[in-house]
Amino acid sequence: MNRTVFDPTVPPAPASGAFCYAPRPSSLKGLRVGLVENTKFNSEVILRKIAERLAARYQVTLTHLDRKKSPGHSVTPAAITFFQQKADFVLAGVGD
Amino acid sequence: MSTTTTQQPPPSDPSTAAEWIEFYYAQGWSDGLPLVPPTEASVSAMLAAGGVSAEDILGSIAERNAIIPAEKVAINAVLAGCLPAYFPVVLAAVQALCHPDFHYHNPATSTGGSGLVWIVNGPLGPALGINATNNVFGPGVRANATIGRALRLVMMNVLNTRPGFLDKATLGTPAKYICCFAENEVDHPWTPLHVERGFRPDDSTVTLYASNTLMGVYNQLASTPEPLLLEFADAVCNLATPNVYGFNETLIVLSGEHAEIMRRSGWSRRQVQEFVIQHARRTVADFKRAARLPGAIEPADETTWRYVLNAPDDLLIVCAGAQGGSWSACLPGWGNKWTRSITKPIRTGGQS
Repeated sequence: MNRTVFDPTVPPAPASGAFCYAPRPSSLKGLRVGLVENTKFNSEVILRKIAERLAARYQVTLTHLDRKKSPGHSVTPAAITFFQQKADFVLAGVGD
Repeated sequence: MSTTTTQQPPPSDPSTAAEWIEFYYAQGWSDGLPLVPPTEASVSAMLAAGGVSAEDILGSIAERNAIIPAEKVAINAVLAGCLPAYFPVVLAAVQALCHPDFHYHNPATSTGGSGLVWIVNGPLGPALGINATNNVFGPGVRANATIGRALRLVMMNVLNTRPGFLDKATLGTPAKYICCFAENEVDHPWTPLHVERGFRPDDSTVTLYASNTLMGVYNQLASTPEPLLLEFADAVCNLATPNVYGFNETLIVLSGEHAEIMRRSGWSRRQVQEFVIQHARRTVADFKRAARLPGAIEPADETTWRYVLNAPDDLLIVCAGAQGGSWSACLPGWGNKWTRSITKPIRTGGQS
């Protein structure tokens, strides 16, 4: 008797553990922030407002805003490189 | 209790199949409907019909870090109930899903909950029995139902487009189960969609389009194009549709009586497209009153127009549905400039 089970799924890649998170800063004081604007209606407004508050509270400097092609597009490798060089942390993920 | 049939049923006990169906349900691989348990033979037959090998990679979706192995597509096609002869359509459709201009991650993930529409053109549509006429969006035809279902299962099982996970639709749409049909190329006022897009009439293609909803367009009195097309234009620029700011695509499905009005009029497809585009507009004041644009209404807003469509080719027109009845359909596009419809040729030549 054939009792083979056919799994129709593909495990998400990369496998768990392949992500490497950057070290988290212990304080935001005096750091440089980058923004990823996702083209949603309120995205830039809210991100800039957060950056303003961070500047007032922690003397954070806004160094770069990257505008994605659409909400579903990835941040480009060029933008990631720029953030790595010019920012200490990045804000993203604002929806409608 | 018994029922009669003109065909002899299989010799095996149906409870065996029922146990397998429940087993597959329990794995979480279903769209909610029973799955057909695959066998080595049925998966192999699917791959052979498509002329692909199990280990072939059919495409990828970069934003999801996902690849699409041919074997997994074949398994999902079996689960959906496809015949092997349908598999070349499924393969072409998967290639359309992966086209960068479709940009899968946008319409598949959105709270807007797009239904993906699959339009089959060319001789393969009638050859496979894909419904193009009566009740074209309705139930009852295996090819429409199982090809569309196979693609949704691929989206769920291979691309992780699962409700609540990477499918964030607020409401979803019944079209998320199945929205697959063939164009009626016989009762057509113009050339069919695939020829319009550069393919030969004897090519077979599948076109993928992301739509938000299906709106019936009813008109029993029109006998010339203008009044009917004004209705289509009104449907296209409905304030409730999400993307009314231009750069959009919209699909119109012309059914029998309405297609006949177009044919008798002698209007070209391009004339129809330009007429609809010209009339699918609203004033800035309309948008502001409905809070679809921010800000207070200024006097000039009452006479300043915004157009929903930018270019004639942004209005896709296909023919399908019954010959009788005064119904057509408008399927507004899901996606602003973030996704475009894609047409792919269907490659046959495998063993079916």
